[in-house]
Amino acid sequence: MAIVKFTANLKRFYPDLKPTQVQGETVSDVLEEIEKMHKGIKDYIVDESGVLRKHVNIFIDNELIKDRKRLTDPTGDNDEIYIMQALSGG
Amino acid sequence: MTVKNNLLLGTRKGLVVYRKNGQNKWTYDRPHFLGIPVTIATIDVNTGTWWALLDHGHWGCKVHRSSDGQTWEEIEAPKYPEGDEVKDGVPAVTKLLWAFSSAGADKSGEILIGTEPGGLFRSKDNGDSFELVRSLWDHPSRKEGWFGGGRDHPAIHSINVDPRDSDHVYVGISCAAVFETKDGGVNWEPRSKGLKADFLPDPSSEIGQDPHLVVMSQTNPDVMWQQNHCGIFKTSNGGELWEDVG
Repeated sequence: MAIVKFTANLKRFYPDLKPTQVQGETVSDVLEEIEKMHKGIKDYIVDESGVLRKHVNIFIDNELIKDRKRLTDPTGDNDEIYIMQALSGG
Repeated sequence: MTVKNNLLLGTRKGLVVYRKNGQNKWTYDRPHFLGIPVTIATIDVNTGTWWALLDHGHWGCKVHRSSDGQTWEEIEAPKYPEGDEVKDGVPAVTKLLWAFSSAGADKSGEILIGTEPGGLFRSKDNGDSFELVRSLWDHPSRKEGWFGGGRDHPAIHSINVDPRDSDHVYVGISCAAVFETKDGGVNWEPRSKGLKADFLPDPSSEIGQDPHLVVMSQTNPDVMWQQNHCGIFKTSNGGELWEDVG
């Protein structure tokens, strides 16, 4: 199982968020599992077409995912998946 | 608690509420959604429901409603059906929730939300679900004739429901036109006669106008006003003709 860690900013909307172990073969699978635990959170991360929101990034360990449109990057046991927000502005 | 005793200010940093006290003075109440841009904040006079439409930036657009103005419930925001496109090859996704209206005094619990990229959504169950108003979205002028102005894509920023007849509705779309329906949204017609858009090859073009906020007189709904890049315009006949008034 992979472990998913979330940017602290998401805890404002989902106070119970914490690092969570999830089963899934791809990032998309992982998000579906997270959605079952925290209804509506997927809409914060991807838009209605399933594309990763512009200023949100997902890393698998130290690597930024490559497929932002369909989230097909594979995930494996012991992977650490980070859901991050990009900082912008001055 | 009546609607008239509340003043809701949607700001880039949250929703600020003032309430009228017993001495008829406005007093600061409290902020909501601190730090989050609030594009629309209003109270539906039909149901008493408070509405706040948010633009999180990072996290997308969200819809919140409240029955008491104190505690809020996030509900699923309007979503474009899979496969719908702004232009060929550009999937339609909700970029901004920019207009809100009750659908009329005789349609309690029915609401309308205008969005970028140009879709109008209707809910008949006070926000539990939304449906794209297909007739406007499929208007033959949309894909080729509507375009973004200050925003990347066309956007509905004004919804005016005729208080005499809730099937009679106007929406203002930048950049497209003011569109009118007289049959509850089955058919839509642009109402641009008299307007000018100096930025277009044909300034009097029916489509491609950039109405900004469109306001309807509540005592004489045939009268509306709009401001755009090229002036301030008034119609006294329900959009049949706009006159430049400044």
